[in-house]
Amino acid sequence: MDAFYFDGRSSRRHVAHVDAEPGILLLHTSAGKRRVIFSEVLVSEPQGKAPRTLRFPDGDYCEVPQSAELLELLKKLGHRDSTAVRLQSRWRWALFSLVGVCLAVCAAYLWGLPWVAKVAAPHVPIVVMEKISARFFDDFDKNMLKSSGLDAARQKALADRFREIIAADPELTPDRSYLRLYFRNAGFMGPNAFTLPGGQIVMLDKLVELSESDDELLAVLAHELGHFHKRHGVRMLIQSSVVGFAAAIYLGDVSTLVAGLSAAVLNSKYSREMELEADDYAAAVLRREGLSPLLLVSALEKLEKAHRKSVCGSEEKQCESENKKRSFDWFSSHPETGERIRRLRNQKTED
Amino acid sequence: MQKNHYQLLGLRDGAMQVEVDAAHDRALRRFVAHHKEGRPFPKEDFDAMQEAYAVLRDPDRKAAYDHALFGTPSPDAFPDASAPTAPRDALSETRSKTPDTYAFEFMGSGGEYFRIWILNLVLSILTLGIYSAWAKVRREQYFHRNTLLDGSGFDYYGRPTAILKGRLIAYGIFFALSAVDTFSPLYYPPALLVVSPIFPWLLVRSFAFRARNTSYRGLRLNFHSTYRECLMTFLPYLVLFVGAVFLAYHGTNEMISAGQASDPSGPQVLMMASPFLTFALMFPALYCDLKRFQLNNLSFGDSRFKTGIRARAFYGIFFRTTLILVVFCIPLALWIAGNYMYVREGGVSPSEAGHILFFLSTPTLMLLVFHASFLAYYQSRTANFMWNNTTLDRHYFVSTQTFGGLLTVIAVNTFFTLLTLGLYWPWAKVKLAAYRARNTVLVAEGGLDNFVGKVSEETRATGEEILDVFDFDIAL
Repeated sequence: MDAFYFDGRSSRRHVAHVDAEPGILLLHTSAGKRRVIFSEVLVSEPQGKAPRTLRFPDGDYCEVPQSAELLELLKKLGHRDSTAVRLQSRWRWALFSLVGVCLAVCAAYLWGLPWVAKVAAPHVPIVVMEKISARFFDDFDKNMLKSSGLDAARQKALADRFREIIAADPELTPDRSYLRLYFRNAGFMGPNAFTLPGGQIVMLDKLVELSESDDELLAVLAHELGHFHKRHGVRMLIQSSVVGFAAAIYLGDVSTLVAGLSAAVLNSKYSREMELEADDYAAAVLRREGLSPLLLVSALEKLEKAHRKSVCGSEEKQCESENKKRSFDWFSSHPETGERIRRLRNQKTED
Repeated sequence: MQKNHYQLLGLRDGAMQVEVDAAHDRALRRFVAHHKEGRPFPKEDFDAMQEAYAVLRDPDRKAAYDHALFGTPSPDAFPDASAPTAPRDALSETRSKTPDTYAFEFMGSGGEYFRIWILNLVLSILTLGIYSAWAKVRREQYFHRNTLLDGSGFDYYGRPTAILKGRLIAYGIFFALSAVDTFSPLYYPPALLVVSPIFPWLLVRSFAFRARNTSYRGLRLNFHSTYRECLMTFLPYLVLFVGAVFLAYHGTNEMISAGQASDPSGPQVLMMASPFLTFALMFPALYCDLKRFQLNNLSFGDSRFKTGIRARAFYGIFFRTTLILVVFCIPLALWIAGNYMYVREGGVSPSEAGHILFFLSTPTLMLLVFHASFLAYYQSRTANFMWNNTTLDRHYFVSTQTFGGLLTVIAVNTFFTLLTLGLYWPWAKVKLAAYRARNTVLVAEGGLDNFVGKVSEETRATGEEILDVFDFDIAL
């Protein structure tokens, strides 16, 4: 069949003719006839309708249109395309691949990543997390938090009880020195408590004001301790950086904001699961202390009430309609409070 | 009435071959001149001219065309036919002196590339990213081989193992730097300073790897710059920028020590904004120098590319691009302000889902339109300016991209890519490549047969890979 021949040293295009004998490629050019052993010829992969190349050992090559005639010639010479090429040429495989990609991504998100994070988290030295958290906490503390208005005696009483529940759990012994309880005041955050991966647990004044007893506060502290014990901070860090990375690859060209938002939505599922895990831990701690897990329920109920008050302006008004609230549930990092309360109540009856 | 091919080239009916060649040459030069001055003729005129020349330069097609047009062979054709020897020779001589135009064309199809792309993706996932180097080679080969110039394809030779090694080094540097930033941020600037001398090296490597692994008609492109040259070209920009950062640092310190953090004075604001201002002001010059560096060091065989681009034109292009930004930002800002007031006055509770969706959708739409116009404007203008001022020996390029044309391509691509959650991406890439190829022409004097060169040595891929550490072939 007709072909173009290039010698590899100049751009001159020569008209040539190629033919096949078993195992041998015959090349006729104006310079004469050549027999090339076919196993030494590098045949380019088919790329749609683009012309293909037959490269010879000396750097010269033939350019041949991708045609039925060429396929016939290659078949005669015993050329076989690579597996990838054969897979690429069929729509069926493309669709399989598409489904495969979707399944792989979903599986990685639902099970793979949480599993990897769970396995890897205990191996991350707590010192490292301490360093990262301390950097963030110092900044945050200096600029956003005020010192607590709580009297020293109350602070000490709570800190003592907190130390007791830490001491009661032998699994916490190796990391005990990293756990620190801070009392702070921050109006804009409402009644709240939070834990950093390095073991800093912060309790805000508004939360203390809201609760009736120290037992209730202890329930909240046990919940926060649960986050630390299950290494939720480290796991979240691992999971969110992978999710963020994937979102940046997928959506990075659209906008950083869109990528960040979708990463936040995806991460919220993880953090909701972690809240439930921390609830379970708190319930176990409370039972061990001879207290009722329902203490956490009452704390949650109060938080919910306070939250509703701040959103709707009045306690009685049932927040216009529940539907509106629910539509935003999948955005929130905490599961619906009702769901958590039901879970804790059920655990109680099981006992 | 529509003009016939002769009239299009400004010729009398049935003009001789020599006249046709000369007229086409004149028309082409006029066309290029207009392009360089930034007031191009419509694309359709160019296509019509090329089509007319394609018919009239070919004796057989010309004869057929004349026959259809006049019913008889044109009278001027007779001397040619009756006395073949002498005039023919004269003819071929003039022909070799007049330039031939070679249009680039892209033969790829979205469906084909989609199948390559999706398989690349699944194999990359299954092999935890190792296959991505092979994937890159397949992708580059698809785009190179399907780009034809005068019927012959380009080729890509990058070796997957070289690319994989490059990627590993790139990730190594990247992670080392971000680890330093996380654990001891104080050491990040010094660490960056320690690493920075390798960036010019990486830039040279990157251009060299790309060039030396690209071939056409069996000859490879080559890239000739040295580390020193690269450093000398870009060091002034670095010095300027670092200076501006120091100025900003100084300004901030002064403000804090004076205890006026909430009320900075005019000069202090200027000092703090200086890195951004400096970068914005030097960007067109930097862009121009980067393109000059890239093109002036490029060769095909033994022939060097040369570009006469000047920073001044880039200032014009980027200034007008900024104007687009301003034009789009005014209604966007008004819209957001209006909605904010509405929410503030208690019209709707801000937590209402429907309202938030509505609130987000309009600016998103505007951003997309802006994004497409922004890209279309600056890409079409820079491509035209760059290629219309670039030569290869005596040959030169003509780029005829238009704002409207590219805008249509980009807008359609963006729309369908969003609609299909990214699955349209391969089609979008192919459409863009086809548009670019369709609008680029090489005007070669004496044909494309006369380039010569020698085989160049292999290059390592590290440089190219670090420049696109995140160059995964996906992104919605």
